[in-house]
Amino acid sequence: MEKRWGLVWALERLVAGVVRRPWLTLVLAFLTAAGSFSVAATTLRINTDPSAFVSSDEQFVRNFREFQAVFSHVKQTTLIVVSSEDRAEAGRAARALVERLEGEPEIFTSVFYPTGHPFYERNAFLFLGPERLNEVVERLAAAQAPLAILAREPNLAGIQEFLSLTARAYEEPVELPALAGDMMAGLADTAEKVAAGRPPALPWFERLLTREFGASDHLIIVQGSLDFDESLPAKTLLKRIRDLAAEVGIGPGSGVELRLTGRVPLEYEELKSAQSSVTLAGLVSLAALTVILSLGVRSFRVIGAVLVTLLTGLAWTLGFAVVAVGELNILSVAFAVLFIGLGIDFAIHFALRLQEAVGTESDFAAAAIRATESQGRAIGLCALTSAVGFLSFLPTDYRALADLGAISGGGMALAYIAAFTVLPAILTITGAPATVPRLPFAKRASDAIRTLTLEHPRKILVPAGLAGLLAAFAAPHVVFDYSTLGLKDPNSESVRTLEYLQSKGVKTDFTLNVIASDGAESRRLSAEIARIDGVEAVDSPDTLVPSEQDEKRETLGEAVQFLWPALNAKPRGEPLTGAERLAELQSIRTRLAALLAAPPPADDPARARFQAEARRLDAAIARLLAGEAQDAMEADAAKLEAELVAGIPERVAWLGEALAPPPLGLEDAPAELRERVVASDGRYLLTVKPREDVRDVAALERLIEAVARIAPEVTGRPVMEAGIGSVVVRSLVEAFAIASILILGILLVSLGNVRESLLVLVPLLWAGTLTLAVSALAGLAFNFANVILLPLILGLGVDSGIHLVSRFRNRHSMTEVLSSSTPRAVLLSVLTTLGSFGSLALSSHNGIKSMGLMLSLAMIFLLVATLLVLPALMAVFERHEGAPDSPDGA
Amino acid sequence: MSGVELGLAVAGIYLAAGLVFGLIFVTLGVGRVDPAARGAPVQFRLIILPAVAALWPFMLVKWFTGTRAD
Repeated sequence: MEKRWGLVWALERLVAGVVRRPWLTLVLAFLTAAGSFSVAATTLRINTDPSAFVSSDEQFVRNFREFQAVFSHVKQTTLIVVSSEDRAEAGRAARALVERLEGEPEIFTSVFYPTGHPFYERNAFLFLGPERLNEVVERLAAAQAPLAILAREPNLAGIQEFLSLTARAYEEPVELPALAGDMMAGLADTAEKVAAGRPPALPWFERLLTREFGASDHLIIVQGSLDFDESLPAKTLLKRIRDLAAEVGIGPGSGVELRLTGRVPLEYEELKSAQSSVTLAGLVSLAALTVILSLGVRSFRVIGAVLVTLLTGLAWTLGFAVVAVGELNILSVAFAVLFIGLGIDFAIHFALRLQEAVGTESDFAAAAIRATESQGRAIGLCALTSAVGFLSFLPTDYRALADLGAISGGGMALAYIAAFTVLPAILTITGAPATVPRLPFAKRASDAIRTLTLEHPRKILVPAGLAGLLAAFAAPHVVFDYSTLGLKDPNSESVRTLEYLQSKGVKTDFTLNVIASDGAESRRLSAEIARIDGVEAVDSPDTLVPSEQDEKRETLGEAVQFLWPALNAKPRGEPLTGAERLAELQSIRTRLAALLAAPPPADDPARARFQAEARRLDAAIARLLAGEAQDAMEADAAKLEAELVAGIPERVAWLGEALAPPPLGLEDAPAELRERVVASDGRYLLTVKPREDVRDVAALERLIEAVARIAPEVTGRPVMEAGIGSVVVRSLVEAFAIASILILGILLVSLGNVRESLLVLVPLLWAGTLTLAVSALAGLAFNFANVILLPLILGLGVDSGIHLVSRFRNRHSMTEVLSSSTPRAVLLSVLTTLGSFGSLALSSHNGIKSMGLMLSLAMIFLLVATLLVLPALMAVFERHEGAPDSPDGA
Repeated sequence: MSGVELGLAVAGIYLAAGLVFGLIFVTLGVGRVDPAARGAPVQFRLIILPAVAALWPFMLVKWFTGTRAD
C-alpha cells in the first residue's frame, strides 16, 4: 500500500475545497492581502542605522555609544560647505546663511560655524603657519602707506591722497605690486555699483582683506530634526538648507557654491538613489519577467495567475513583518527579493505541473488534485528547507539578519499557502490550458541537453568537477566590504564633497576617534598615533592652541612697528562738506586723466591692469556726476564716499588687535569650541584623519588595527562599520552552518535516502562555490546590500535540487525526468529570478548594482548546476545502480 | 535557574543526546534506513553526522519504523 504524507492528504483536501469555492477563496485572499498591505504601509518604517542591530555587549558598540554620549555634537550631522573663488563672497554668503539657520531653531537644533568664529578671527594671524604668516606680513608692509592714509582720512580726501600715492608708484620706473591693481579694481567696482544705484554687498576694503586672509571654503555644521514618518527623513531639513542658501544669494550663477555632506546627506542621497534605482529596475524587471514567462509558459492565464499569487503572498508577508519584527532595516528590506525569487518558484512548479495534469486528467479538479499529489510534498520540502535556512539567522548576533530571517522564513510558509490556494482558485475561474508545445528552439535545446546529460555525462562532470575544485581554492578569498561609503554613488554631491573635505584635511564623520583621560595622555597618544603610516594628522584639543606662538608674536610685533602710523592714526573729526567732496572727486579725475594720458608699457601686465581699472573708475565717477544739479551731485558724492571708506576704521581696529594677540592657552578658547573636544569630565577627544581613501576597506582596516594597538578603545564610524562587518560575516557563517545541518537533516528524514539527500545539495554547493570564486577573482566584494544573495542561493539551490530529485523518485528514470515539466519549471524559476533582479545591475547605487551583478552570476551557475551537473550525476548513478526504491509517498 | 539558563540546559542535553544517537546511527542504523548506504565510507557517514544529531528524534522514528517494517 502506498504510504502517503499527512501533509499531501491535507493539501489535496485544501485544493479540492479551493476548486469547489474559487471565488470565496479569492475574496478572502485579496481582503487579507489588502488589509495586510495597508497595515504595513502605515506602520512599517526603515531603520537605516546599521549600529542599531548589534548587541551592545560588543566592545566596539559600547565604545561608540560612549563616544556619542560624551560628545553629542557628532550625532546626525550635516556639513554645509560654502565655497567661492572670491573669498570675500564666500565669507559673506556663509555668514548670511548662518544667520538664517540660527533663525530657525525649531528645524536646526545646533548651528556651528567654526570658520567664522570670532576666536579664529581675533587670532587669525596666530593660526597661520609660519611661512604663510611671513607672506601676509610682507603684503601688509606693501600696504602700510595706503593704510595709514585711509586710517587718518577715511573720506574722499583720503581716497584722493591714496590714489595720488599709487599713481606715483605707477609712474615710477619700479615694479608695480599686484596690490595696487587690486585696490584700484576695488575702487572702480564700488564706483560703478554706486553709479548704477546698486551699492556693493561687501565693501572693497573688506573684500581685499578677506581675499588676503579669508578662506575660500566655509564650513557650517548643523544638527536638525529628521522626520522619520517620511520615506526620506532628511528631505525637509536638507531642502530648507538649500532654500535658505538661495535666499542669501548662494547658487548657480552667483559664483558661490553650496555643497552638503556628512552623515545625514550621505544617507539621504543613498536612500534617494536606492529608491529611484529600484523604480527603474522594477520596470525593467517587470518587462523581463513578462517576456520570460511568456516564452516559457506561453499562457497569459497562467502567467497572470502566477503573478497575482506572488503579489498576494508578498502582501501577506508585509503584514507578517509588522507582527514579527515591527520595522524593517537595511538588510531585512530585501526580504522582498528573497520572496519573489523563491515564492515564484513554488507557483511556477505547481502551475506547470497543473498544466501537465490538465492534459491527462478528465477535469480540472482531478488535474489539480493530481498536481497537488505530485508537487505538494516537493514544494512543501522546498518551503520547509528554505524557511529553515532563513530561520537559521535567528540565533545569530546581527539582529538585522535575524529580522531578515524571521520575515523570510514566515514568507516561505505564506508563499506555500498562496501557491495552493490563490493559484488554483484563479486557474479554476480562468481555466488552465494543457502544456503548450515548446517553441522549436526551446525543444531543440532541451533535446540537446537531455542527450548530453544522459549519453555523455562525463563530458559535463569532469570539467564541472575541475571547476568546482579550482573554485574551492579561490572561494575563501572573497571579501566583505563593510564600508557604507562604498555603497554610495561616487558621483553624488555628498560623496564628492566628503572626498574634497578629506583632501583638505577637514574633520568629517569618517575619521577615527580616541578619548584620552587628560591632556597629558592626549599629547602622548597624539604623538604616537601621528607616527603611524596611514595617518594624515591627529587633531586634539591642542589644535585650539596655535603653535610656535612666541616666534609668530615676534613677527607680528615687527608688523606693528611699520604699521604704527596706520594703527594709531587719529581720524579727522569733521566730515567733508558737499562742496569739498565734489572738489576731491574732481581732483581724483584730474589725477586719473594724467595717469591715463599715455598707454602703459607693452610688457607690463600689472600697469596695463592698473590703467584699465583706473579708466573704469574715472568713467564711473563721470557717470555719477553727469548732468545733475549741485544738490544731487553732492548727495551722490556722499554716497560714493560712504561706500569707498566703509569698514576701513573697523578693519584697522581689527588689525591692531589681531597683530598684538596675547599668548593663548586651551583655557582661552571659547566654551563652545572647547566643549566639542574636551568633555565636561575633562576627557580629551582626538580625531585621527586617515591618509588614504576611506572607501579602501583594506587600508582602513590596517589603520584601525594600527591605532587600536596604541589606543584599544578607538572608535568612530569606520570602526563601527568594521565591527558590524565582522559581526555580519560571523553571523552568516554561523547561519549557513546551522542551515546546512538542519536542511540536510530534513532531507534525510523526508527522503530517507542518504545519497539523494546529498544530491539535493549539489547545485547549491557547486553554484555557490563558483559564485564565490568568480567574485573573489573579479574583485566583486560582498557588502550590506548584496549579502542577501547568499540566502537566496541557499534557498533556490536547495529548491532546484529537491525538485529534480523528487521528480526522479516519482518517475524512476532520468529520461522521463528530463522530459517532464520539472526542468522547464526549474529553468523558468531561475530565469525569472535572473530577469527580476539582474536589472539591478543598472542601478547607480553601488550596493544595488553589485547585487544585480553577483546575483546574475549566481543564477547562471545555478542553471548550469541544476540542468547539467546534477542530472549528469544522477544519470551516472542510475547507470551504475539502476532505478532507486519505490518512492515514499512522492 | 532562569528561563534562559533552563532553555540552554535543555538544548545542551538535546544536542548531547543527538551526538550520542548520531554516532550510533551512522555506525549501525544508516544501513537500515537506507540500504544503499550500507558499506558507505567513514567520510560519508561523518558528513551526515551533524544533521542526524540535529534532528535525532525524527531519525530515531525513521530507524524504528524501518526496523519494524523489516
